[in-house]
Amino acid sequence: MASLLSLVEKHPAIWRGNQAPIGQSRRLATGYLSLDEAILGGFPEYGVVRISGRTGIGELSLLKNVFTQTSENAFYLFVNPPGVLITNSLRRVNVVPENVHVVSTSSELSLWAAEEAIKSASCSVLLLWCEHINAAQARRLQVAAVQHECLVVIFEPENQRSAALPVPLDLTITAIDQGLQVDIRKLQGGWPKQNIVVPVSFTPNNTTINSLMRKYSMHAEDDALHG
Amino acid sequence: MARQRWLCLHFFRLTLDNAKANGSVPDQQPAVAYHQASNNVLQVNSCARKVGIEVGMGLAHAAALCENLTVIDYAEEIEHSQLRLLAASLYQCAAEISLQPPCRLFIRIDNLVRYYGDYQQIWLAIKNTLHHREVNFVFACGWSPENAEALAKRGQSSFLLCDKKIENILAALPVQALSIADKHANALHRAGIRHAGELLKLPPTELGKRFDSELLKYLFALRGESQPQRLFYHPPSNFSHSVLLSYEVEDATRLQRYLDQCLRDMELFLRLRNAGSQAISITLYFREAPEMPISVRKSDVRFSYSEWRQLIKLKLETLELPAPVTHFEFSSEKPQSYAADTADFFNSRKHLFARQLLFGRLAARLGEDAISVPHTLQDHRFTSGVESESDNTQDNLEEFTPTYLLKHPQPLTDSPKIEFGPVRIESGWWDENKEKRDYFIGRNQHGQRIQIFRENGNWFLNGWYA
Repeated sequence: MASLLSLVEKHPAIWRGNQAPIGQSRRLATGYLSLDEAILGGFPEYGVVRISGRTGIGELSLLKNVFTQTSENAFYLFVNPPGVLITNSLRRVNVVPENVHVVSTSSELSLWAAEEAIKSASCSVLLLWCEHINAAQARRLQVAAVQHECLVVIFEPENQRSAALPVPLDLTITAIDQGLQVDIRKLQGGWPKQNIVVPVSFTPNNTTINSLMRKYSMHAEDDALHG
Repeated sequence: MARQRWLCLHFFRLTLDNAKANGSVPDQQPAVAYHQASNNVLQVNSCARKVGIEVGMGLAHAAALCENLTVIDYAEEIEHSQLRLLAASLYQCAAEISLQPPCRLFIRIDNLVRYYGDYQQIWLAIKNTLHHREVNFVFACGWSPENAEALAKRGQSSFLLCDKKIENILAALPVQALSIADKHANALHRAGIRHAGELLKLPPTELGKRFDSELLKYLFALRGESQPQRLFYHPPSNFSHSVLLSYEVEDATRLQRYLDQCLRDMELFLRLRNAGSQAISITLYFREAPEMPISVRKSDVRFSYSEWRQLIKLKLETLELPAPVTHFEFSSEKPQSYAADTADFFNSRKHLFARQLLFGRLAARLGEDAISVPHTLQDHRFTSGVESESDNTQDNLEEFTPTYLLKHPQPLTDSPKIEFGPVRIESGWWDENKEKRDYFIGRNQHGQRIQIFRENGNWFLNGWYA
């Protein structure tokens, strides 16, 4: 009898409840293949992710698919966003506006507010904009985020060339013609990679109208020439 | 005629006991309660008594006898409020409580026998309640409040039920121990009446000829033959407590200890009424600065000691005091009884509850207006400041709506490349904020997508797309 149980226990795919292997949480895919391959399948489900880059180059649109993979009534907290957040645009990035709250406070207290929000265990996704976060503060948030099952995304302005933080994922994004160029500064469990091109397009543009107008204006010229 | 029974509780050291509970009097140290106006030491604790300080001494005399004497200021209102607190806690055992400020309580106990069984049980219940409060008192039992009071004034506690014994002790009391006006006491002394027994033997008609009706009423009450009307204690509908600090507090966080005690009292108050409160107001009084009201709010009604304590702690941490605090007032606002329909508390409320707790905590530290919801554009004007009365959902312009809007549009400094546009919006002719703008999406040299518009030939930056 005992030997049968030990046979079962020895099987590599079977484990007891209190031995749940860590690091088995799933990755949330961003939907952009080049990026997903490089970051082990996607963003970590819980933990801190830092994205350094300018505002308005598509940072939230990059996370569009990640947001769809959170639970139904997930609660989003935006701490110190760069401007007044508009609900009509939140639907574009698959965030339900009714579940969103915004906290605006000074930069010193924003970290405290973020930690409180994570520890309350009521927040699924926390988006924090701050000028600068050092390794110790990031570590604190990381420990709290993993313990209370929260995804924390920290947006930092681009010119902070600081050291990589002890977090699962640390990215730098820059805008290029085709979309975004992502450099991985740190990836837990993988190698950092540079120059990943992600074709993010999130605003309407005039290319269609321009091409049509060009086409029809050429035809108009032809007609005019040929009378 | 069935005789009533009253219990008199005389708290002879109420101010000092309260100060000890607050922590203002260190253990095993002599302390006195000093009344400044009459220059009298009114209350003396046991350590001070050992050194030789007595009630009625002046402050200089007391200080000469003892070097490290702790002096607590005696204030009648504070002692009265302490007495009311005691009555509130005793109200849980007995219904008919009459207060005699500043430090005496009368409880009618003969009608409680029906509930408790016998006097022993009543006495144990009362004693237990008072034990939690840690107050010193002298008690006596008599036929009427005046009777019990006279017995308690002897200084010895007694719980006598035998009528004969009460009569004997009463008879042996000196006339000074009774609560009669001084002139009457002097007149009786001159007449040769030394003891209460002799006084009670005198025929009332003769007494009535020489003294006024007040004395007669008192004597009748003393004998237990009449019961003058008494005002009984009614618990207040709102919790309010004022605390006099024994030394001025300069640092706001030091107030936490006193506020914790007030919270405990409030917890008892609310629990007895099955109510909760969403806001607490604390008013701080300074010696020379105007009073400062503080309000602490919570998002849900249910009382939680640890939660309130944390909210108050957060509030105190960010508080700046203009001057040292001398005393403060603590009151709860509008206790609301718990409605029965919040009974399904456990189904799927956990996250909502946690969210409300979080908001309460954030609001306490950061202020009420730190927390907001995203702004919804009501009509086609891309302005965050405009409160519109229309309710248009912008289905066709959703692609074009920026993610972040500036509070006020700023003049455009660099020259972005236009990617999309123009979208001409002419709107707002029905209210003050009429606008006619051409909106574009621009892309600057860093790749940021910004919303810019042209109004009257000038270019402005309105927001960003993320």
